[in-house]
Order: sequence, then C-alpha cells, then structure tokens
Amino acid sequence: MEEVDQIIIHSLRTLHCEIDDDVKSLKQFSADLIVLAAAKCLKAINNDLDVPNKLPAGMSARYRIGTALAHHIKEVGYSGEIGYQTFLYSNENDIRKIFMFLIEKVPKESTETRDEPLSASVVLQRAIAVKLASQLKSPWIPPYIRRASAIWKGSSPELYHQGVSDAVGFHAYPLQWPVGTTNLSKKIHKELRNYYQSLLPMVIQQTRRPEDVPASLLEAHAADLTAQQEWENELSKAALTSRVSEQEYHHKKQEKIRKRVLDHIRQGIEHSNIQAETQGSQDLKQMLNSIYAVDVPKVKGSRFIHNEKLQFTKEEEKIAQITEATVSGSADTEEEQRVKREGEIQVLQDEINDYLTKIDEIDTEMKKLVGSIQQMQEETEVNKRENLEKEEKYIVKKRTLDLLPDADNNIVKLQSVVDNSAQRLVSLATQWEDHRAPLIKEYRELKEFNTLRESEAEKKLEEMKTFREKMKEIAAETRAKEELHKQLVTKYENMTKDVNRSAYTRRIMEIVSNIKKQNNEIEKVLTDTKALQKEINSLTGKLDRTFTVTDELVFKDAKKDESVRKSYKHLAALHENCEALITTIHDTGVIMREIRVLEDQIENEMKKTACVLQKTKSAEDFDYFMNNGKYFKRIMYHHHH
Amino acid sequence: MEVSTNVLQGITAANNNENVPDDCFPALVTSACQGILNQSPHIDPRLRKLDQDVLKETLASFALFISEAAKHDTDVQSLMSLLEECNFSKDRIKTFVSVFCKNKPFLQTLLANTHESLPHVLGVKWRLDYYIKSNHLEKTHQPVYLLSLVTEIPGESELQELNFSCTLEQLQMLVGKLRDASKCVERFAQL
Repeated sequence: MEEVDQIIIHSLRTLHCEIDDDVKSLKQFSADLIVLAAAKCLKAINNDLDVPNKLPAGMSARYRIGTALAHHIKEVGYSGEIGYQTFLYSNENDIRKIFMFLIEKVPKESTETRDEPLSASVVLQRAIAVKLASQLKSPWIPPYIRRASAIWKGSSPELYHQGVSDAVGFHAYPLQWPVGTTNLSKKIHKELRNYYQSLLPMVIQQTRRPEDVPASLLEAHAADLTAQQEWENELSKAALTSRVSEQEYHHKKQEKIRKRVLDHIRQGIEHSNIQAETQGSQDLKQMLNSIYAVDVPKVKGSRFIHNEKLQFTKEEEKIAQITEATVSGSADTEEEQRVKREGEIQVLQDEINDYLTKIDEIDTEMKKLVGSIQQMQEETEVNKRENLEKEEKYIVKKRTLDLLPDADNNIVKLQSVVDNSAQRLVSLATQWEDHRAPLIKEYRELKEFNTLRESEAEKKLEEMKTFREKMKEIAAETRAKEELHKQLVTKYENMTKDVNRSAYTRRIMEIVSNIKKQNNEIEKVLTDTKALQKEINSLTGKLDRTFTVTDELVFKDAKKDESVRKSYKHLAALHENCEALITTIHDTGVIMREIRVLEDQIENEMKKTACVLQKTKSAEDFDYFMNNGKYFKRIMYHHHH
Repeated sequence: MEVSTNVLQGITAANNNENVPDDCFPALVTSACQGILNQSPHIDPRLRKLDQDVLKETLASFALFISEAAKHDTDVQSLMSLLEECNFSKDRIKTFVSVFCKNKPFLQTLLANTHESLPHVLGVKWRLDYYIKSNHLEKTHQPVYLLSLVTEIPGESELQELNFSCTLEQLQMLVGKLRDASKCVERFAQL
C-alpha cells in the first residue's frame, strides 16, 4: 500500500496541498490535513464549490464541516460509506478509498491537448511564464553594481533584467539601404548606384543617436515584411479576378494612384482658385510639373493610350493656364482682383471652349479625310490589279494572233509541244509520288514520335508537380512534427521526474502479477467445482437409473406377492425421504454461506467501531464532552435549586 | 522567424565569393553585430576593398537579420536551416553562428533596454508623524506617514526621490495594491 499512498500524496501536492516532507503514508494524516486535502480535491473537481479548508475549533462546527464534505463527495459519485466520522475519526482504509476515488475524479488538463501542436500565443505565454519565474528567482542587485540593467555573470550577461537606468525609448529613424545591387536581371540607374556607393551612409550610421540603431532596424524590418505581405495579398486577390502579371499590375496601380493625385490637386486648385496666393500656386505648379516629370512607363502606343495622353496634356494646359492666371493678377485690390480674375477666367473659359470645339471639328474632318485616303488607296490597288490582268491577256492574244498565218503547221507543233509537256508532267508526277511517299511516311513517323515524346514530357511534368507538392507537404509535416517534438522535449524537461512514475509502474506490475495469480486460483476452483458437479450429476443419474430398475422389478413382483408390495411402498418412501434430505443439505449450504458473509461484515463493523471508539476515547473530544456534561449538570443543578 | 525577401536577397548576395570573399565574411558579420551594439561605428578596414554598394546592402541585411534573430531568440538550429536555404557553405554558417552566439546576450540586453519606462522603485524611506493641530482645527491628533520612494529614472544615473504623505488607510491600500501586483506576477510565472 506504500506506493498507493505515495501516489496519493504526490497527486495532492500537485493540487497545492501543503504536506510535510516526512509524511510518507496516509496513516500519518491528521484530521486537519484530511479535511484540507479533501476540500482541495473537491475544488479541483468543481471550481464553484465553497468548502472551508480548515477545521474550526468548535465541536459543532467540526461536525457540520464533516457532514458537508461527506455530502459533497457523495454528490460527486462516491458509493462507499462516508460520514462526518470518516474525517474527524479517520480510518486509514476508508481514507485511502476516498482519496483514490477523488484523485481519479480530478480532471487532468494534460490529456486535453496532447497531440496537437500548441498555438504560437500559448508557446509565447509559456516562454513568458518561464522567464518571469526565473526573474523572480534572481537575487536583487543594488543599482551601482548593475550594468545595462542586467545581471552579468562572468563576461556575458545573464538575462535577468532589473532596473531601468539604461532604458532607451523606442525611437526609430527611417532607414535606407541599397537593394538588389548584385541582381543582374534588374538594372540600377547609374546615378542611383553612384549615390549608393559614395553618399549613402551605412545603415548603422544613419540614426542621429547610436542608441536608436536597434529600434530603427526592428522597425525597418517589420515595415519591409508587412509591405511585402500586403503586396502579395493584393496580388493574389488581383490574380483571382483577372489574370495579369505582377509587372502589369504594378504599372496599373501606379497609373491609378497618379491619376487620383492629379484629380485631387486639380479639384483643390479649382476650389481655392479665388483665394489662391501667388506663392502657393507657384509651388503647386512646380509640384504638378514634378509629378509629370516622373517617367510614365512606355507601353506600346495603342490608340487608347494615345488618346489618354492627349487628354492629359490638355488638362495639363488647362491647369497651367489657371495657375498662371492666378499669378498675374496679384497687384490690385482684392475686389478688383476678383472681378478681373473672373473676367479673365470667363474669357479664358470661352477661349478654351472655342478651341475645344475647333479641335473637335478638326478631328472629325481629319477622320473624314483619313477615311477618304484609305478609300482612294483601295481604289488604286484595284485598278493596278486590273491593269496587270489585262496586260497578261493582251500578251497571250498577241501570240495567238502571230501564230494564225501558218495555222496547220503551228497547230501540229503546238500539239507536239503540248504532248511533250503532258508526258513530262506525268513523269514528274510519278517521280514526285516516288519521292513523296517515303517522305510522308517519315513525316508521319516523326510526328508520332513527337506526340509520344510530348505526352511523355507532360506526364513527367505532372509527376514533377505532384512530387513537388508532396515535397512541400512533407516539409510542412516535418516542420510541424519538429515543433511538436521541441515542445514535448521542453515539456518533458519541465516535468518533475520523481518516484511517481516508477512507483506507478511497479504498482501496476504488481497488480498485474496479483491478478494473474488470482486468475489461476479462480480457474483451479472452477475446475474443482466442475468436477464436483460432474460427480454429483453422474451419481444422481446412477441413483435415478437404479431407482427406476428396482422400481420396475419390485413393481412386477408386487403384483404376485404381498410382502413385496410392502417393500415397494417402503422403497417409494425411502426415495422421497432421500430427496428431502438432499434439498435440506442444499439449503443448509446456502445458509452457511450467508452466515459466513454476515460474519465477515460483523467483523468489519466491529473493527471500525472499535477504531472510532478508541479515537473518541483518546481524543480531547471526550474531555470536551465530559466537561460539557459536567457544565450542563451544574446548570441543571442550579436550576433545581 | 519571418524574414523579408529584401533581407534574404542581401544575405544571399553575401554568400557569393565574388561579392564577399571568404576572408571578409567574418568581418562583415562582426561589424553588423558591433554596429547594432554601438561599439564601433567605424567599419572594419578589411571591408574597404569590397564594392561599397554591395557592402552597404549586405551589411544592412545582416544587421536586420541579426536584430530580428536576437528579438525572436531564434535557436541555432533554425538559424542554420535558414542560412542553408540561402545555399551558405558549412564554414560560413559556422562563422555566422559563432559570431551571433557570442554577441547574442549583449544584443538581447540591448533590445531589453529599448523601451519606454516609468521610474523604477528601488527602495523606500518612511517616517511616522503625528499631527496635533492646524490653523483650521484646534485638535487634529492624526498619524501621518511621510514616504519617499527611491527611484531610478530611465536615462539618468542619479537616483531620485519621490516624496508624499498619506494616512494609514491610504498606506494600507498602497501596500495591498503592491501585494496584489506581485501576486499577479507570481501567478503568471506559474502558468
């Protein structure tokens, strides 16, 4: 039972029960400790329960707490006998049973999240907890010994942070560093490279105070990373809706943003046109120019983009005019200026409108003219073709006319020429066929070969793809497993490695061997009883058979002889009596068994009551009761008088 | 630990023997560490012979990488696998890891010191006074605690005192709050 006690005590310690180290078995448990342990267990099982941890001094309060505890334990599902006396006047066996039951009922947190890798936040929280625990254990160091607010062991600092004398606020400067200097696929501008080489300071020299380097570095990296992730997100979203390459998307977005900026500026100018100050408008003009100065990506000039450009330049002119107009009229008083400006604006607007309409007209005319030019060109083409045809016809006709005077001879000659050419044609055709057939064959073979190879290549490509996917999956799996392994290793290292485990295993082994022994014995008893049963059965069979045989024999003789009839009656009586005897033996057996069980129970109860009696006798409760009795007696006595 | 592609690109560039020869690599990593630690703002003379733009990119990338690794307390194994993915040779990985491990505690101390902070209480001096009367009341008869907290203020080497007076209840409340706070920390440490 020692192992069981150790296991119970260990589990109670994990529930934050303060048990002295020299307590080795449940025998040494005092009533206070039992109540404390039971209350802790109950609280671990059901957090809402309100049970006191300590036994009070008063007898009635003790009784109340004992019954309350017993009631709660019964509610949890304990089926054994339990009452206030189990806690106040403890019996080792009862206590062991109760604690075994309670500790089994205590929920085990570790079983819930065993296989799943912990989420990042949980891992971080644990790391924080470990760090906090180690910091709490670190000794306090007076500030004049500390260096950089940390405890230094030897030459390298142990990271026990203390104090704030060296704290520097998190203040980040924007950092700049060259990117892709060795990347040959992307050219860097010569001027930019020059700037990188000679003017740009090192990243670690870019902050005004050297203390701000780490903060700046961290922020720069975070910004870089988030920008990259955001860009990837946006790109994947764009790729879902429309299939564009990364560069195209980049250009499109650049264009969109530029347009929006322009719109805003133009609106701003138009709104604040009246109050615009000279200086401000000039700045604006400069800025607009600078925006246009940014090189627009040279996409091959389709008509649409060309049009857009035209529009842009028009708008540009407009803006320039507006801004210039605002610049010129600065000398006069405000009212005059306003009127003047309005007039000017009106005039300019009209002019613009005129120009626009003119441009439109010219445009339409141009379109018309271009159309007519095209028509003309087509016509000339047609005419040229007709001309050529007619010339050919004319040559043929001329030849035939030349041949006409000597018609017969010429006809024969022509006939022979025609025949010759026909024969030649036939021979050429056969030759062609001869050449063609193998070539076509070869061509077909090659084609087939090619298709085969293509299909093979495709297959291999697909295989490669699947392999790559598999590789990725396996890599992810291994990473997850490694994480899990790490976590488990740290968990294992953190676990308390004491007797607990070996005690459990030893106990389990013992129990297993015991069970084996008991099984053997049970089997032996079973075979014995079976043999007995068999014997009994065979005997009863024999008896039945002999009885029937004798019964028949005697019955046959009984018809003839009177004395035999009597003996037959005796035989029947004997048989009945014997049967009755057997049943009574059975009954006595059953009763004996019952008696034995009852005797066992009685013995148990006797032990318990003896124990309780002893305890009560020995405890001061007895004195307490005696005193109380005396006190009451005295009171009674007083009352009588 | 996640690293941005720009930084990875810079680190991979440092792997090329033409960009950064073997004898310059340790100097590069060391000056990245030292640069973060503000110990030597001057660049190692061995690095002068490199292309300045390449040097600036690789140094920046390593400085970013190292600061990030120190922040995440990345273990050696994952650092090595990260560098292996950039096709670093074993010698270079070894050099990097040894330099990083040597500087890691200093880097982490520096990062731990990079924070805004309230004054840090180091100790307390107190005195119990007894008020007998004031100009408003003839009889006051009240105990008053005079406390002065000895505090450390970030960025200042001199300790400073923070003086205030309070009644018994207020002091009890203060002590209660402090006890609660320390209990809270202990509870978090036991998670």
